[in-house]
Parts: sequence; C-alpha cells; structure tokens
Amino acid sequence: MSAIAHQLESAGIPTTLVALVRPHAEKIRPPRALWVPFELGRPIGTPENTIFQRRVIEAALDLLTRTDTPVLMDFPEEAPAEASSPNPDEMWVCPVSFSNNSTDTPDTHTSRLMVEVAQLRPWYETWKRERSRTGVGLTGLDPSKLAQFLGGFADGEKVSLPLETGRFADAFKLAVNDLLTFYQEAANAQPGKIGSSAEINSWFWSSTEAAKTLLAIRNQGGNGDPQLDIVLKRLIVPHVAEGVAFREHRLVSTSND
Amino acid sequence: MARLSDMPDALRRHIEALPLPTFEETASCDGPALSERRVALISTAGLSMTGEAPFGMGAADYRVIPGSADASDIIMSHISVNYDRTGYQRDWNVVLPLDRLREMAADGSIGAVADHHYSFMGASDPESMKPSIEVITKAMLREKVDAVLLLPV
Repeated sequence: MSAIAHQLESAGIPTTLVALVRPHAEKIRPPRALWVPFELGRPIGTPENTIFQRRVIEAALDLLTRTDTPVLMDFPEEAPAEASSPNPDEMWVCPVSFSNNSTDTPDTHTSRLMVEVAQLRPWYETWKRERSRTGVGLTGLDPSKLAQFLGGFADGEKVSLPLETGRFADAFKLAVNDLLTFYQEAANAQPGKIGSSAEINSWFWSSTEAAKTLLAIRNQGGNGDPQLDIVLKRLIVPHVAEGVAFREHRLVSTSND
Repeated sequence: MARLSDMPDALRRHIEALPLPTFEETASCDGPALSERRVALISTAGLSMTGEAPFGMGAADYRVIPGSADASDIIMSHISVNYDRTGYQRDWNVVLPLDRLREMAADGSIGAVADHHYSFMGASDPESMKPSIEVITKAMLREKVDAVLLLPV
C-alpha cells in the first residue's frame, strides 16, 4: 500500500493513505499517512457511523496540504464502541442454538456441516433480504455445495470443485471465504442485534462444526500441491483463533503457521 | 486493535516479520485546495465487481471500480484470514468509502469523485504490482485525478 503511494506520488499524483500498522508506515515512509488505531479490516473505523467515518476521511485528506513529506500523523480518536443491541447489557448471541445431530445422521464433518448450514440458512436469507447484498458468491456455489465440498475434504474423500478456471488452491480458498461469509452474515442477521467482530469470531471458532471442519482441513496438508499447502496451513485458520478463549475449547491444538 | 501490542502473539509476530520495501526518498506533489480536487480511492482489500474474476494468491493485477458502483456491486476476495470482514459486510464504507466521498463532493468539501477507483490484493509482493500501478497512474493522469486516498485492510 505504501509502495503504491510512492509510485503514484513520484509520477505527480498527490497521495494520502490510512495506515493500520504504524511500524510499517514508519519504515516505508509514504508521502502522507494517517495512522488509525482501528481493527485490521476497518481502515475507516466503525460501520454505520457516518459522522465518525467522515472525520477519518477528512483527517486523511487534510494531509494533502502538506508537502514536507514524509508525513505520519496519528488519528486522535479510538473507534467508537459499538452497541451490539438496543440494550447494552444484552450480549449478542447466535440466532441458532445448534442441537446435537440425531443418531441416524452419519458422524462425519460433511453431515454435521450440512445440518449446521441448513439451520443457519434462514438467517442468511434474512441478511440478504434486509441488506440487499451478500459477500457470498466468489465461487457461485450454494452454501450446501460448499459444505459438501469442504466437509468431504475434511472427511478424506476425493472431492472436486465445479469451477471452470484457475488453480485448485485458489478455488479452495474462495470456497472457504464463501463459507465463512455465509456464517458471519447469518450470525449478524438478527434485527437490532449486531455482534462485534470479537463476538462473531469467538462464536464461530468455539462452537461451530464449520470451525472444526476448517481445523481438520488445516491439519491435512496439501497432498503434494505446494499452493494448496500454503492455503491450508496459513490461510484457513486466523491467528486470533489461537487465542486463549479458543484454546479453552480445545479446538486448536497446534499451530502450523 | 491495530496496535501491535493488542494483537494475539502469533498475529503480531506474523506482521512484524513481513518483508517491507524501503525507499531512500519520498516524493512530494502539491495541488489545489481540497474543494477543487478530484479524489480517487485505491483499496488493497481484494475488491472486484460481482461477476468479475476474484483475486488469486499472489495476484499482481488490479480491478477497476466505477465511481457509480454500489455496495451490492462489489465482492471481496482477499486471501488473508487475519482481519475483520464483518465491518465491511455491514457497511462497505469501512473499506471503500464511496458514499462518504459522494457526500463530500455534494457539499463542496472535495471537488469531485473520480470516475474510476482501483483495487489490488494487498498481500501480494509490491514489486510485482509495479506494472499495474504504472497503468492506473496513466489512467488517473488522463482523468485529472489530483488526490488519491489509499486504504489497506
């Protein structure tokens, strides 16, 4: 990001950037950078807070008046705390209470994941209806197909992705992204009850079959495909899943990263 | 949470170990008042228009996002799993604040919103992205963009 700023500015186009990792901006020294103390993934701060977002953008654009580059300024405000529900004492909870599979369901990742996806689907449909958008769609596959594919892979079956182009490793990663987005959107679909990223992460990695499936996949390795090996070992399970809260659930036993 | 000290140990070690380019000098361009500038966004969130090919690992190419795009036109395919996506899912302006820029153009805070904005895959090697940046530099100069706001995730 900072390297792009150098190249553009050298070509005569004035730049300013938002920096999320201050030490990186200190080292790369882009022409103008506003460091913000926000969560990774949220360079403009807080969703659905237009006034705060505007302050961040104005602070970054105001740096364009500076020609004594490099300029690195700190944004003086933390991201406002989010009210997860109209009642601040009311914690976010997942809209679905996952029940144990019935005894006639095969005990496989695939079957358990299929049940979970079916339970979450009404909430996902609610999200799509209320928001008129969804981030699911990288693969074009229905979530039940994603569950079949990823569950099957975790179960050691020979599975394929019905995608036309590209490397299998890329398609695999897109399938994981689609499944994660399906879960996150379903989880946040309750009217008036929004989970913080920490709440959604904690729920996902501590209590879903999808998390168990992804952890099982990570530990399988790429079977001779070096690109797939990178995806499985580094791009499936986030570092945050290895925090204390998650270890308590004994879902994460080793780190391969 | 983007303070390194607040991050889980593994994530902090990962970020600290990332190879970074260095630059001996930093260029500096002047420009008119903000109220007269044409502003473009560059995001490294791996955004594409729905229906376009998503980004793959190591991608050094870019996608064009029209200034008229709406949230439902955009899809994210960044490969990293270590940043929050729920904020973007709720409000795309957290990552690509086109709505805010349009408001600023409407009230005269900026001169105009550019007709074209751009997205890269942020996890890719900056060196490999240079040819793509040369292409969009020329496009921006043609469009008379004189302010670029760069946004990572």
